[in-house]
Amino acid sequence: MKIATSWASASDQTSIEKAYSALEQQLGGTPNYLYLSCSVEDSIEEISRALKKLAPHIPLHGSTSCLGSMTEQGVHNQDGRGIAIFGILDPVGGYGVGAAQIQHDAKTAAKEAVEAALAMADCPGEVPSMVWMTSAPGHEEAAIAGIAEILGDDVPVTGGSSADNTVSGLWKQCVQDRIYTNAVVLTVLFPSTEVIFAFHSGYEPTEQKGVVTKMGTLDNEGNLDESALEGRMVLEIDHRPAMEVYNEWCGGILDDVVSTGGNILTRTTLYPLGRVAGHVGKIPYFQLSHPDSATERGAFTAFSNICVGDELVLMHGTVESLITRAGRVAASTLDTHGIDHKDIAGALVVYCAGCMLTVRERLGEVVDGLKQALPQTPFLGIYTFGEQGCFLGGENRHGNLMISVLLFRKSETTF
Amino acid sequence: MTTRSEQLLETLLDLERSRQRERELRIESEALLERLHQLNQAKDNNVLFFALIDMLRVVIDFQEAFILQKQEDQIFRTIASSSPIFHETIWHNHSLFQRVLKGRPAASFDVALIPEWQEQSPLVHRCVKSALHIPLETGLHDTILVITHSQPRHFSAGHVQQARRFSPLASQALQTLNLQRSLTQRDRFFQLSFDLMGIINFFGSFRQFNAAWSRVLGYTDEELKNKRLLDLAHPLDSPQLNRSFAQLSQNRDAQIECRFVCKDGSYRWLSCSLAPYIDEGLCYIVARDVTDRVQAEQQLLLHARRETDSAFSFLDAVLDNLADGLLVTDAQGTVLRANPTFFNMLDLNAQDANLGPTLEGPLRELIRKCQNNPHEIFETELELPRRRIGQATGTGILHRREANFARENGLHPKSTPSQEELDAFPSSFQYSKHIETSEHNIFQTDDFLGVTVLLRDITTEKEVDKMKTEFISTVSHELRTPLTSILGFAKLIHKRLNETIFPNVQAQAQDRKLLRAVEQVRSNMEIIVSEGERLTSLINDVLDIAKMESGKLEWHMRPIDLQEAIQRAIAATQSLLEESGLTLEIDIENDLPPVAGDLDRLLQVLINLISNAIKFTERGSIICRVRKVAREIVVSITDTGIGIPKEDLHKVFEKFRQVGDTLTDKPKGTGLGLPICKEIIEHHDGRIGVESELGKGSTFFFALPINLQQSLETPIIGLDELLQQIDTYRDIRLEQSQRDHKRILLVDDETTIRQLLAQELQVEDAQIIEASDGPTALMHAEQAKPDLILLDVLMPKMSGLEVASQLKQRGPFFHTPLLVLSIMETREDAFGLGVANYFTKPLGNQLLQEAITESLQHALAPLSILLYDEAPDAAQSIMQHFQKAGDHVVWCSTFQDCLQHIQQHKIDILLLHEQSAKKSGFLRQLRALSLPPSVLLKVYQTPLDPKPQD
Repeated sequence: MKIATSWASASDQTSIEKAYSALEQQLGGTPNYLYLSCSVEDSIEEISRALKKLAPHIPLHGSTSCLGSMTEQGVHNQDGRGIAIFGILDPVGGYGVGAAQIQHDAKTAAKEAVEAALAMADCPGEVPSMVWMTSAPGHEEAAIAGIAEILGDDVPVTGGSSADNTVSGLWKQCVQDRIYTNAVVLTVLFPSTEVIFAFHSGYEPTEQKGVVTKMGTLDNEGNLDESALEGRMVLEIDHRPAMEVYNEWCGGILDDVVSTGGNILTRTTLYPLGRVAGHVGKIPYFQLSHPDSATERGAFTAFSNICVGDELVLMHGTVESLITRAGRVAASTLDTHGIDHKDIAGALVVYCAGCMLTVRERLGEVVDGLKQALPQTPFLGIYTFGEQGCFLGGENRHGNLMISVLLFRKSETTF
Repeated sequence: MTTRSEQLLETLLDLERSRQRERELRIESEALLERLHQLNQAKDNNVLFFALIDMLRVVIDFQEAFILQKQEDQIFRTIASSSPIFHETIWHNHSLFQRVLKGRPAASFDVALIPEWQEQSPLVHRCVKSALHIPLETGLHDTILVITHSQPRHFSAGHVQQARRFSPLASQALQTLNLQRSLTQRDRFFQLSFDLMGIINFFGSFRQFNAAWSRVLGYTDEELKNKRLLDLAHPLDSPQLNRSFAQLSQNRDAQIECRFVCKDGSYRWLSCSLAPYIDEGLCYIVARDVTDRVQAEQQLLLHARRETDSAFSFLDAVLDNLADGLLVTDAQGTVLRANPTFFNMLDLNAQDANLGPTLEGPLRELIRKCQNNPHEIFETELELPRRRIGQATGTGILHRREANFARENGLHPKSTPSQEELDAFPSSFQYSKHIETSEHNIFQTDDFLGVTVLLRDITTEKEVDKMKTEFISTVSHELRTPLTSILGFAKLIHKRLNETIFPNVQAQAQDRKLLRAVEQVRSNMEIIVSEGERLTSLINDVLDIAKMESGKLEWHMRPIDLQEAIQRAIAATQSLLEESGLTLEIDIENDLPPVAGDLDRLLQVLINLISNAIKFTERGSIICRVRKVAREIVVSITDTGIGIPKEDLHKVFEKFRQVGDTLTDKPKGTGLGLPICKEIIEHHDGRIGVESELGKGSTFFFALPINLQQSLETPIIGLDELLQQIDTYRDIRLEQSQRDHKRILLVDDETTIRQLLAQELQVEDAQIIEASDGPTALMHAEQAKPDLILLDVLMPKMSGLEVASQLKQRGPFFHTPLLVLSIMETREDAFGLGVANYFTKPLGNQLLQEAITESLQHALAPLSILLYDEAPDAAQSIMQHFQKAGDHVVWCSTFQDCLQHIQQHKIDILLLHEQSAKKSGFLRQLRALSLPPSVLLKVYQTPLDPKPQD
């Protein structure tokens, strides 16, 4: 297996041709799979059309990323734009991309997308090694459930939700040259070599914790339904207004919005709320949720589903840890599996857009960290509004402020 | 601090993850290794299968399993299964199996969606919802292990990863099992083989060997282990085996057939193939006991040798006991063998004989001819010691075989070699002919091996032959000589009586008795003459037939104009024809080519056939036809006579037979005429026959082949000498012309003949000079310079031909007419010497008289000379020379003009410039014209003519 990345500074045919040509040259042949990452300022339509012309029969999966992308060649973010292409040359493997618009529910869409992807890969009924998913934000859990319903719970699902530059709902997805704004798009991977993955939070738990006692959802007319057991609006923690509790946990940094409401996304990046996803031995690992806004009623919303009864733990992180986290996750993954970086053909990195925005000025250090962990290894990093991954215990989860790393091995696994 | 604790937490997590993973892998590994051991112990497929699934259960939970293997028809079939629902199932190869067989295990979350599974029975689908397909590399057939579960989505990607780790182990186990089986089979094969197989080192010590060694050589395994191959070899074969080992040490294979000693001391022949493997320091040997074959071959060889020796001995005995001498040489002429008879004939001692000198002379010449033309048979006579004569017959020894020209001469194979290429390899293909085969370049070639000569003592045959010749000549001479006298004098008396005596007596006698007596005497003389002539004819015929049968008859073959011959035959039978009152028609085709023949003999045939036609035809006509039919000239004489019964047709050419033995008033002959005609025609390579119908007539015919091959060897004389000869002759002619009487020289050893001739010639008022032998004749000729010379041939001291030769070489007698009168048939030789005419005794006086008169007249006329020379300057000088002398000379520069002049004018001398005549082929054309024998043909050279190359 061979992997390569390339980038372009513009969406026009010529620029994309140049980028594709560079990719082919690095691969030494026509790729068998392409992943496109670009910002909403780039024309994903134009890019996908151009790529379809250049590689009409190659599965193409694309999604918008917040303010660009990063590869081993650096951060591709210029005036809010950044185009990067990830290509896999694996003639023995199988790759298929499927998409389905989320009309009624994301679960059904995910199921349709899986079947479409399996059909494209010419592997109907087969269990892929992994599912790589990018969906519109808001329905990731349902999508994961839909995938599991088709493939079973034990197929790792990794990916990141589409993002825009301003959290305005401008995100897009694409399959070949078909563009979507609210779809589940996924790739089923049947690589010829092993794919290693890791899904990390990168925050440490604090002593602050509480149990969700009330959740709320808004119907289409904006009416609050307080009987929901699951959702993205936490009304009460320990029977107290959730925002009030959360603010106390954060040391009062959100005093100004507790009662009035407002966007708290960037101010809570270092204070996500975690839920125990599993244990490694006796050590718990957490699935994170990122509060993004406070309501007038003292509730807060997050970018992932929370359930009544979930124990929320205030997590804490630092800018330094956010910067170094990607590289540390990659290195840790190699160590855990006892693999040398030289055996890695390439990597896909899902980096939370919230974290990215927090460390934006020092993104280059993030890239350096990755390059240190994966020297001379091509990788593509995307900035997402939600991350999906498989924990060590085999749990496929959607979380926020997470790091998800996919490492593709060069050669067959040997025992 | 937070960062540090975060890192600590992550580190702990990583550590815990690693330990957990390590634990999992260790447990998995231990379990797999344990099962692997069992797997490797499996002796058959069934045990192996269950060991496999047992091993797999350690890492993956499943319910059932089965193994599919691709058969020769490209269809997968179950070869082992844990559940009967999979027994005898058939699976077609689609994309999933293809991916799996490339080494990628594949799990199915719902088998109903898999094409390979969709073909299976409902029962299978009821029992199986999930499946994991694992490739197994057996090294032989494509094999897939399938594990199944009744729940959908049972197998995960993790299971696929585990299957990836499991697959090589299982494949290894299978390959090991197969290898073990192969090894077992190989061992079995190794031990069961009748051939001796083994592995030795380069010193010849055994590392491994099969049972065949013990079986063949009788040693125990222990004994063989302590032996080296070289120690077992027969002493005489050891060097050869050593050389083989030397070859092996150079990494080259060796083959050897030699004897090896058995335990009981006997030897067995083994045909061995040895192959070295230098890297291993070992040699692999395979040997076969070929003792029986070798012994059989030796027996065969011995038997063949004995047979050959016996055959050779017999052949030697045959050759040594040949009544004839045998000489055999090789292709270069070196003597290889001569039998005792050969040595005896040459009075040589076989032990000491050096045949070198003996093979000089005729034998060497014969051998040389045979070497040059090995397909021909050549003969020569040679003198043997003690005045004996041998006849040697030689021919080439040729061995015929088929050969490929290109292969034998290193040429690139192509369809047919060119003549140049054939000529370039004369030694190989000198005596070859190309035969058409599917393979090009095949020649049937006769390899020239040498010369064989048979030497026969023909002294007795020669003596008998000489006796025959002498007998015939004696009989001829003894019969003809007195008969010549008898008939000659009888005719003379008859003539005198009729012309002189009887008229006087009849005029004066009154006595009737006297007149009657005169008539009786006349009649008696007529009878004497006719009977004498008949006896002469009979003797001639008998002698002719005797000479023909003994091959003693001399044939004077030259181009014959049949039209002229027929005219002469008709002239000769004219009197008979007139007496019979019959008419003779002639129907001769135009432009008939000449045939080669003896003119006199052919005349004899024509006269005989015409005479017979006249004799046996009372009324009607006779037709003589001559036609060219294919390659023959057919002459037929058709009469309207009495005809010949069909049953008698075959007898007409038998000796002394006349058709119809009953007495009739048919004229009688000698009964030898037609047999003689048959002999003559058959000698001409012709055929003679008759068609007849009784009462209606007969057609006698003969056919002669159109074949003109003549060689006329004419002596070449220098021009100056020629001119001098002619000048000298001219002077003599002048002297002769001034005489009152013609001077004729009679040369015959028989006095009576000379007397007879003298009487006849005196009538001509000629001066007769007689000589009884050649030397006297020459002396008289020198002195008297006769105008005409009559020559007998058979004379003591010097034959008439020799006299003629000497006379013609001498200037004064250059053109003196020579007439030969002889009982011998040496016509050709005589004419070749320039004899004017040739007559056989006894002959008619009239003929002789005419010849003499003509010759004398001709001798006095100016010379009419025809000159053929393409060079005008040379021709002019010759013409001036002759014209000055008063001769009539005509010059022709082209041979067409020359031929035309010969046909239209009578000439005395034909002078041909040798170079001109050869170049233009004039001589060949000239022969076809049949120059009259009186024309003197001289071929001359000038000093300026180029000399022939030596």
